[in-house]
Amino acid sequence: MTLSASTLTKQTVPILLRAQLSSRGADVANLRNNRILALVDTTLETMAYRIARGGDYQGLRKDFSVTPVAGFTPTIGTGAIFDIARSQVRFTAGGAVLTPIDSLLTLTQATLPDDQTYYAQEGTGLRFRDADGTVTFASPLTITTNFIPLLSEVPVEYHGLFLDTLAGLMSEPRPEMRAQEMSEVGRA
Amino acid sequence: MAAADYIVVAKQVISLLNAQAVTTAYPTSATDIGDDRRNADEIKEAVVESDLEARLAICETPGNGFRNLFIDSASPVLLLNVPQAGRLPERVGPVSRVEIKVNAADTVWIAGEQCPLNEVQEMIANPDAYQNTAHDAINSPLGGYYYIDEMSDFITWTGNAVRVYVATLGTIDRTTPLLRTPDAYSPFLVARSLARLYKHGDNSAFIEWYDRQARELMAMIRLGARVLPQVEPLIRQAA
Repeated sequence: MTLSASTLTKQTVPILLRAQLSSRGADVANLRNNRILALVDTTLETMAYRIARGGDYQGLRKDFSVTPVAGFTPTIGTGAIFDIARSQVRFTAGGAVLTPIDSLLTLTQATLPDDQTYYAQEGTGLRFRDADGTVTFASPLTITTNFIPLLSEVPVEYHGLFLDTLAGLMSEPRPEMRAQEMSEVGRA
Repeated sequence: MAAADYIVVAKQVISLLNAQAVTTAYPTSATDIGDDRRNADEIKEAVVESDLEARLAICETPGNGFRNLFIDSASPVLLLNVPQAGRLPERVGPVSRVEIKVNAADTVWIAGEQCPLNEVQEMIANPDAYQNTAHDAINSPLGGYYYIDEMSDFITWTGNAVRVYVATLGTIDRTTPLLRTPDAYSPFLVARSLARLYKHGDNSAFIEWYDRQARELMAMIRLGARVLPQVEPLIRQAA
C-alpha cells in the first residue's frame, strides 16, 4: 500500500501520529490504531473550532448551499460553524451579499431600510427579511463559513495542527492545562 | 541443529553404566551390552522417555531457541471455524505467533498484534466509531489485532482470517528410535537416562549423581541454554 502525504487518511494518521509522538520521546508501543481512529472526529471538531475562533479563521472555510423556506432555514449544513461576524451570506445567483443583523429582535421588529435583504441567527439556522420588508424570503443562497472537515478535507497546511491536537487528546491533560486551553478558545 | 543421535547417546549411557561387553573398552553399538542386569530395550526406552522430557521442556519454554524446531513453519494452523472466534489447535506451550489476513482478497499475512478483548470486540462491532472503518476492509487500519486466551483455547481477531504457529512434540518413534531433541542437549539425555536406569541394588550414589546433573541440565534447558556441559562421570571410590 502506498501512502500519500498530501491527504490525511485512516491509514496515514496512525503512522504520522506515532512518528510525531515517538520523536517527542513518547512510548507508542501500545498506541493501537483503533484508539487513534476513535479520536479522529473529536480532533477534527476541536481543531475546527480553534481555527474558527482564532485569527486565521479564513483558512478552513467552505461554501454551503441553502434555500430558505418562508424566510427561514433551520440549518446551514453538516459541520458548519456559523459565526455571524465571520461568515458571509450571498445570493447564489449574482453573488450580492446579504446584510447581517446581530439580533433577531431587530430583524423582525425594527425599522430597517427596504433596499436590502437582512438575516439574523435563530438557533442553529437563519431567519431572513426581504428587501420589501416581508419575511417570505426563498432564494437560493451560498453561505461561506467555517466548518468541521472530514479527515480527507483537512488542508495540507493544517496537517500539523491536526496531529498536534490529536496528540494532545491522546494524553489526558492536567486539569489546570485544560481550563487554560478552554479559556483561550473562548477569548478568541 | 541436527537432532541427537540415538546410537551415540545409548553408547554413552552403556559406557557410563560400565555395561558394555567385557571385550570392549567402549560400546561398539547401542546393543553392545555384556551386563546381565541391563538390556538394550530398557536403555532404548530410557533414552526415548528422556527425549520426550526434553522436547516437552523446549516446547513449553518460549524464548528457547530450539523451540522453532518443533513449530511447523510451513504449515501454520488456519482457523476458519467461526468468523472472529477460533479454537486454538493442540499444542505444547503457548502459541508461538499469530498471522492475520486483513481482507479476503489479500495474499499477504501480517504479524498479528495483541490487543485487549474488549477492544477487539469494539472494532468488530462498531465500525462507525472508527471513521466507518470495517475491520476486514481492504487496507483497514483496524485489521491485524487479536486477543488470545490460552486457558480456554480461544482466539478472536480483527481481519478476515487468522493462522497460528504452535509447537508440538512431533512424531514419537519408539521403535527405530528417532530422537528429536537437538544434539546440543545430548548431555541431558545421557544424564536423565542414567537416572532412569537405576535399579534396586545399584549404588544409591549413582542415581543421586546423575539425577542431580539431569535436574541441573533441565533447568538450563528451561532457561533457554544454547549448549549444555558434558555429563561428568561418577568417580567410583576404591572399595
